[in-house]
Amino acid sequence: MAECCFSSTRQGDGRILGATDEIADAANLVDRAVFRMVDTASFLWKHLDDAHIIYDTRSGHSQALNDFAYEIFDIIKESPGRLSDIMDDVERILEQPLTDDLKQQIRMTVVAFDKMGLIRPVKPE
Amino acid sequence: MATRQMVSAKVSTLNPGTIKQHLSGGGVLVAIGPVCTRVSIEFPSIREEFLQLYHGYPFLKGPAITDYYLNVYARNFYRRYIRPQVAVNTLMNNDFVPLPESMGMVAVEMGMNWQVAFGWKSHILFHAGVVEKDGIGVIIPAVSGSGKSTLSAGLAYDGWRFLSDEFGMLEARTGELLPYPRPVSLKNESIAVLKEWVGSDIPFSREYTGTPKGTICYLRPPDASLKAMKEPVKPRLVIHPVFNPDARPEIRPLTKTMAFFRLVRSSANYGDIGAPAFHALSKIAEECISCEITYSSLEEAIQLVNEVVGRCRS
Repeated sequence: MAECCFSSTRQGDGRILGATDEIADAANLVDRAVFRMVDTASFLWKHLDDAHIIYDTRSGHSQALNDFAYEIFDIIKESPGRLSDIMDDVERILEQPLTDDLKQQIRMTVVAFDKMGLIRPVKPE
Repeated sequence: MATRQMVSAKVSTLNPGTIKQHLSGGGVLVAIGPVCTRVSIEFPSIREEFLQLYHGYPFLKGPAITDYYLNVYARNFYRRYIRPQVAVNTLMNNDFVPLPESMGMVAVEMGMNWQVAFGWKSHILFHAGVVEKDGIGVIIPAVSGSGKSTLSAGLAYDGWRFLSDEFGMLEARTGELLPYPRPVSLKNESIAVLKEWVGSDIPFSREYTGTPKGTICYLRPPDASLKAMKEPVKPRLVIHPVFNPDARPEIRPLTKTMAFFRLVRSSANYGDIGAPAFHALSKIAEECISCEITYSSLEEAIQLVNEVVGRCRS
């Protein structure tokens, strides 16, 4: 699989490659890319009363995931997949069709995971 | 760190006569909790104020491991005698803005704070007051203006042991809070409040007017707190004070997640310490009672703290 990150990559000469394409594609990329977990060994977890706290040893950042986000995180950890695959999995877990609102929440959660550096989008072959 | 504390404990302390001599020369070692700083001051007036404020603190004869170095000096001959101006050298950062000699103690305190805030990585640092009573350690994290110093000092002069005002220090391995009982920096309206509360001028420095933070006055912690500066305590409560002169007194419990992130926010070196800090802070969030109190006066705040402590005991 050819990898493709949302964030721009800077070459040795300081030129930013692919920035324009990525901006144009960013919206579509969320739907097309396969999302997979980054190295899970770098994560530490603590479950507190109302959230799952994740500490990323690479960045030193802590994030809080609610049960919904944690479930999506777990789905991606189990098997990398497209947004549509993740939605299918959630649908199977809930045993009912997803509403548009819920689909939007899943999409936002996946985008948020990517921004946090917890998952990585890759282009399918 | 434990080894270092034991070493320091064996070192004898200087007598008052030689403290002044060392302070004007090669420096005197002042040991506060786990931090040992070599302080030297060129200006006689600032030396006098330093010795008055740090009366009762241990000055070591040495040898001891020195963590920090602080030299208060004049950048040139003219600034020593004509419109005298003090500069601070910490061997870490010499870009401090020089202050008039009349604000010399402010320069000393700010220099010492700066060193700990940016250089101390042995313990998890909170921008917080810490007090203790009957083995119950209370962390009082807060942003500037919330009344953290006023509350910490008020509790210290109301039967609590004072561990720190500016920097709470947590040993990640043991989960214990270490005392770092530096003088409390009181600002503006809180000075009169504490003077009335303490009922004596003895532990106060003079007031420094016209500083970037307004009027500042330093308050020496009670002697009993200084004598116990090697005794750690386990945290049991985390209280976030919010001063609002128009508000009704209120205690609002925090969820454990909120408690965790409030602690992260108040820590100066959480990211530097990394995984041990994550484990230690999540343990505090899980095991301690965390709440926010809103108060309009010192008496009210102390009453609220005692109420929370009562809940902790029950």
